[in-house]
Amino acid sequence: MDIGPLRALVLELNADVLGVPVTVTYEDPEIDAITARGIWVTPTTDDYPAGLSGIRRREPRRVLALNVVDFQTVPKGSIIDAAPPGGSSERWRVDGYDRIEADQIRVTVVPDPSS
Amino acid sequence: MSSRRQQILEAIAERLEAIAIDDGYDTDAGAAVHMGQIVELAQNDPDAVISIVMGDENAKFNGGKLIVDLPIEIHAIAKADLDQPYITIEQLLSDAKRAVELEDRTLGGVLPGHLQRLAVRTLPREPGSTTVGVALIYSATYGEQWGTP
Repeated sequence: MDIGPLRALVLELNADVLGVPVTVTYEDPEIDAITARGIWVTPTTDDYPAGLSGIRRREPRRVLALNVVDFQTVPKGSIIDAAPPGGSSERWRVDGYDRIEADQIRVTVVPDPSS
Repeated sequence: MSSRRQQILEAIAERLEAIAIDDGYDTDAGAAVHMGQIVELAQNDPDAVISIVMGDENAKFNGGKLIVDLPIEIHAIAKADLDQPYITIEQLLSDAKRAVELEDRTLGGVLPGHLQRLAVRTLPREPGSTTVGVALIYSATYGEQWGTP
């Protein structure tokens, strides 16, 4: 049984219900910005930097899940406008990747320092 | 009367507490110097913070006296410039070295010899984080009578 269409439907429904409007602006000016919906994944709180026994800063690691159907590529450095849960729209910068799947990409973001 | 270890710790802390932008340093890490505890910060805590961690002391008898080698680790973290985090790392490192490595390497007479720098480690920014860190390891060697720390 091919569950691909079912999974695609679930992802779409999740985005509609749980998602927030997301605009991805690419560093390459030749690529137009894309607006669709993304889902904020519950952030994990990690210790940074790893490797110092005497001191650490506990920071939330913010992850935004984006459907590949909407965002084929989200390069590091791309700027994302999205409202965090319960907040108003903010600018974020793609800083890394939490998970990459065939139909979904979860990007790690930090507040955009230029905003 | 405080032990030699305590005097060493306090002498180094005093030097690190001088780190302030107003005094010609690149960070204000001297405003928060911690000792004797593992420091856990949140996002809104000070940008640059230092913790002094005493390493495992090694001692050997020599002529009826203990010769003690004491590693002292200075751990410092700071919120990084996200575009050039290496600059934050190097500034933090430079500040710590300038503060600790004064001309007087005896720590005001606490040490019979000279404070030695053993190693430096830098910790780059990781994805999703805004923090970088450095660790400087110094060594203090001194003599100690049995039962007289």
